[in-house]
Amino acid sequence: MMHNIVEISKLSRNFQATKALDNISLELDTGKVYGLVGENGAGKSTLIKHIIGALQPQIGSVKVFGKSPAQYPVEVLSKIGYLSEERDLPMWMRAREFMDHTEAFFPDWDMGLACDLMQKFHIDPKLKIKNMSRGQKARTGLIAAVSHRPELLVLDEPSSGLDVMARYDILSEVVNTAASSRSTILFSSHLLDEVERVTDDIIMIHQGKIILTGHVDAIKSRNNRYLTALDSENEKVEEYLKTGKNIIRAVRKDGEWLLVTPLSHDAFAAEMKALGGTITEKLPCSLENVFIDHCSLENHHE
Amino acid sequence: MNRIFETSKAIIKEEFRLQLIAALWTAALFVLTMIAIRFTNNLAELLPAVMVTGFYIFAFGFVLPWQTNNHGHLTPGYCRYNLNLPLHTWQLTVLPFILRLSLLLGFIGLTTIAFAALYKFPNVHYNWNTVIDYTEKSTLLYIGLQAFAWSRESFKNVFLWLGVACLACAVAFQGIFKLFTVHSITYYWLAVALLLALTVALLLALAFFGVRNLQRGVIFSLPGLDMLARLLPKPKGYNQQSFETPEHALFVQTWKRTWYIMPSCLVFFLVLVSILIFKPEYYHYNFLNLTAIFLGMCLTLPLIGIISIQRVERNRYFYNMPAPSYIISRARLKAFCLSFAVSLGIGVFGLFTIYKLFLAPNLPNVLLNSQPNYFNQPVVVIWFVAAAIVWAYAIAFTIITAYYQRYLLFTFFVIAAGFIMLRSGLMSSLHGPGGLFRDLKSVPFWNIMLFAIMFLALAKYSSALTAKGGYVKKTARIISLFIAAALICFACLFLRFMLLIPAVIIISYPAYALCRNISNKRHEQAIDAPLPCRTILIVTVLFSLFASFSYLTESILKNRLTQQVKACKEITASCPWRYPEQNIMRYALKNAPFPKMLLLQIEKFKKSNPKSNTYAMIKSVLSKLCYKSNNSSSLKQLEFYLQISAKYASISSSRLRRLIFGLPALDQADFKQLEQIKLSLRELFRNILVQRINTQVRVTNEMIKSFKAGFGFISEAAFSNNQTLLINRKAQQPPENISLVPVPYSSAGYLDFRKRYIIKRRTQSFESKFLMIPILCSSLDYIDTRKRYIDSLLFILHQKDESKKSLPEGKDFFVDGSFPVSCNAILESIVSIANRQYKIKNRTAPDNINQLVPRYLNLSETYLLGFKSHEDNIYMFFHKNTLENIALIEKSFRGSSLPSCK
Amino acid sequence: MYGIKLNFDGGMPIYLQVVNQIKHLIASRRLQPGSELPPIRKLAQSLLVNPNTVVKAYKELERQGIVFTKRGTGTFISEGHSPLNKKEQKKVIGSLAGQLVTQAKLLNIPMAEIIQEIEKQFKEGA
Repeated sequence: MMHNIVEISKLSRNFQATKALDNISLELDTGKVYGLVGENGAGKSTLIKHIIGALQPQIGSVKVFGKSPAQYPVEVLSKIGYLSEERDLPMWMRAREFMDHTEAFFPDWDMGLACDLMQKFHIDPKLKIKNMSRGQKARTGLIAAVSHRPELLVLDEPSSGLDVMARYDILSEVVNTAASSRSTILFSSHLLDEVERVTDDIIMIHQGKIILTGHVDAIKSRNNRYLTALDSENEKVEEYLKTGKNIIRAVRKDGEWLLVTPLSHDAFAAEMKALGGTITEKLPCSLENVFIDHCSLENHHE
Repeated sequence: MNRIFETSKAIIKEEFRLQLIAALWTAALFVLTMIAIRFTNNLAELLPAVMVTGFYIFAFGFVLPWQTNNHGHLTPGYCRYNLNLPLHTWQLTVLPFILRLSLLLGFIGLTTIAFAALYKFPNVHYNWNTVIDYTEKSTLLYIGLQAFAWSRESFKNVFLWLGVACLACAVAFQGIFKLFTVHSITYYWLAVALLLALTVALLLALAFFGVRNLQRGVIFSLPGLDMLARLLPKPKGYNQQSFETPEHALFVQTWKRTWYIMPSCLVFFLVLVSILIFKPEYYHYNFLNLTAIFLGMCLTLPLIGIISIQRVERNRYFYNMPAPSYIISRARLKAFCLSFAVSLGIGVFGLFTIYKLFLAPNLPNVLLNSQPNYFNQPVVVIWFVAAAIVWAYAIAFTIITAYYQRYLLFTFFVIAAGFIMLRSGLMSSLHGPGGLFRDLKSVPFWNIMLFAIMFLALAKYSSALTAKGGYVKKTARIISLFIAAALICFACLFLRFMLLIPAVIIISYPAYALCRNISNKRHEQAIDAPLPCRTILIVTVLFSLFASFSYLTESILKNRLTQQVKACKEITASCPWRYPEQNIMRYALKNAPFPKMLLLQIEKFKKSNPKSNTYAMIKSVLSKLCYKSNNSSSLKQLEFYLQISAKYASISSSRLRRLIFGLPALDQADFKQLEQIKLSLRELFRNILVQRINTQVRVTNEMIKSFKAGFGFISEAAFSNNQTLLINRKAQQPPENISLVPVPYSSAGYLDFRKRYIIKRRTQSFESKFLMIPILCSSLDYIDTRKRYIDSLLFILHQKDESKKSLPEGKDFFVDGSFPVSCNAILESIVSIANRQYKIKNRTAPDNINQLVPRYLNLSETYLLGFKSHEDNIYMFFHKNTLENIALIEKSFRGSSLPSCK
Repeated sequence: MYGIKLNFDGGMPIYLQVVNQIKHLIASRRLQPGSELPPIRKLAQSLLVNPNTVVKAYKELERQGIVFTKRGTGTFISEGHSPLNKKEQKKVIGSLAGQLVTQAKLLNIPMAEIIQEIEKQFKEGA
């Protein structure tokens, strides 16, 4: 099955007046780990809900395993392992009961794996879910999601609100799954360093649109940050700063200009020369920087 | 001081804002409901209005303690935010309390005004006593709920143990609760008032200290039942259970979490009712009351059940599982059905226990003796049980449908209201007699309702299953559905088994509605909601079984009825005492030793001088006619004849049908005096009895009339408890003219249950289809009773062959508990004999009558099986259970020796 | 594992960091030539990075001739250096020297000091 696991084409979605998703097109390959990043309210959860069939596409189409998840929920959902943002777990069940219960729904369930994981994560099988801490709930939910060896693992903000140990557990399980199976993993997160280490590709959503996709390194290489000395009184310079197509962001910093550009060093140096400015320094670029540069309000390309 | 005033004002303002909206809505709803009832009902039918008023008052008392909490949801607790403000506790408790109480009283005032404006106030059902009663009870309800709500968190488990204590008292120490129901204890009022005052004080203190403890963070807790649970040996820690299918897993989970909701609501309600609201005089164990309670249970429990199942199962986890929506809905519906069955069982058992504890310790015997025989037949009992179950589930599923398709419900009510208005003549008066609206009145009510429901259900089914089409297609579909629904309803009028189709459609709809609801929540559109074939199949099979069983039972009973009617006809044909008058007259004529002409003259004379003394009059006429008769016996016979004719004339004019049997062989003086005693006794007896029965009759009549609007068949029913009461066929007569005791001999039309003509064909109305079996049973019992009465009369008056022997015990036709009432006439004869034995020469006999009458009234309530007079002795045979009344009788019949009773 | 620490603030891709740190470990004799590198999965789990990153790092190391893969067995550190990679090595050293010189010029540090520093490091590393 060489076609993509998830194919989203021109998906748009409005909630009353707000545009939650705006003409999104996306393809997810088999076996890769995808990270979905974006501000709160950017549309991450909405996108994920479309993939699992909880929302119907208003415009455009969503295909998971070649089928529309809203039309064939049972076929699609039986191959997806999902952990929701709110950790919708049945509060009254004990951990072991919960695993027993979930087993009934998935024919490929591996109880041995579930028990191993429960041991590894130190979850008492007799503990009631409502008495678990947040971290334990997230771990339990993750166990239920991976134990039936799904072809697609979808995690909606798995690390949010968790302590270090819990985050470690969850991440290590994601890495483990990525290493040992051909599953595709899609997870959304605010913790960019997590996303950077564990994912193959990043999908960055801002105000309902996908603004960046690709491998972290590729993204970073297109996001060069240079400190430059420029004469901003110059009209030509002002115009360039405002409307130059190679400028992602321009910030005044201690008399100098921090300019963010996709161009490489030499090409940019040439442009600067043309304006009568020089590159003072190249600043390091983390994923956070990329994020802020693309999503901040000062972005003059909005 | 100023600050206190300011803060108090702020609290009152907030309270007011919160409660006023709810109060205004409730008041508006109430007024609308009252107006609707008033204009769709007769002014004379008060009962629905009274019931609605009572309901609203109690509902208001129930909802007052609820307030919104931090999250904006309604909880019966205290808003956490207010507790953290710098306020005194009394500001937080007393002020809202007073405000809410005044709102409650204001609401009651409003209801009274509304009632007075629309109906007559005060009246027998709703007067100042009722208002005070309702006020007391709903205030108590409100205070109790408020105290519970406010002290729930800071006095943990106090109410739990209070509830357990109450229950224990109710079960083990009936006396404490009999206090509320038995009025004959002296200083009853004082005791109740003290107890109530104590309770209210306790509740108020709990409320106050509850809030105070919440503010200070003090929790006072008694050990709860979880301590008990901890003491129990734990089996394993968790139930390791593997499930074969997703449906099994879902069902077990839903069942474990929700099975207790409906039964516990029911138990709570039953306990509440038996403690708070119960008054024995409200409840007579007759068919109508039991049906009302049963209906109430069936209407409220399913709503509670389905709402709580949906709430408890709200967890979104299950929606993300790869299970089709119909499996989830099936699991929930199954859990609901089983839980409902448990509730029905508890309901029946609970009602039985309440009756047994508070009303009638010897209930089974009373039931067995007062209910006629046919209702106790095994087939009929089984049918009743089956019908109760089927109807309960039918109503439950209708409620679920209404819950899920609220706009359908709204549409239905609009149609119903419109139709009622049309039918009740509101509109026809506008359009004049004749034409469409006149014919509309003859269309049976239920047919239209059934049609409306069917049409809506069909439309709902089809709209979801077929693909969307253009406007033309949609219109065509709606029109074809309309025609289909009309045809089916029409066919149902003629072919009873066609009722199966609408029944199955309506009852299986909830499965579909639930599935659609779940699918909607999961996928934002109901995309996987297939036709619930399995449910439809099960429902069809069960309904068919029930229908066939009903049909069989009905045919058995109908055959029996036809037989009995025939037998009765035969007997009455041969019976010389048969009414109408001609035969009595014929009999009298046969026995009168005078030629007919003479009799006629005497009659004429009597008619023109009604006041004259019979004996003297006869003598005078005879002498006038120069007829010499020294034969005292023939004179006596003449007198006897005149008696009978006069009596029958008077009886027929007063529509009292009673036969009074004078026993022969008395001497003249005694006869005269006896006659006097008998007459006055009869008058007294009749007046008292009639008075008592009249009240009962009036009350029952009111109830019947108010139900008649919807349940028109009741005019045919026969009530059969201690006061045998048979409603006249034409029930428009005032209560005093209701015939008290049997012997209406018209047997015509027993099988004619409100037939109607539709397109010149005779059909039966819907209600008679559903209630054919109870109607048949009543008719059978009625006929049976009559037959037995005739039999026993004939027996007693030596018309049967067995007269030579003494009365054998255990003869079937004396087991009937309704027999004694019909023996009033016979008792009068006993009185006459007894009085003769009791030295009538003592002139104080008339006074004794006042003492004797109550005893005779009692006597009539015992189960007199029969009596035999042999020479001057009277042998009376009573039912075994009434031995305690023998002493009374012995006392009253001093001097007569009674044989030992077995 | 082996004290490999990753840094996410700067611009350096993770796989390169892994490559460099492994090279450092080899240079400081903490990883002996001939010894086996941890399997991809294990290293990915312990570092908590995407296995593909480790794959990339190992490939890069193999390209530079520092390690070699034996089919079915694992990845091993090469003995010595093959002559093919001398050119590569020269390139790497050259670029590093270039960066060092740039910084020195910026900070106005004389060449003598730099050479001193280099000598000191070599002695410590032995």
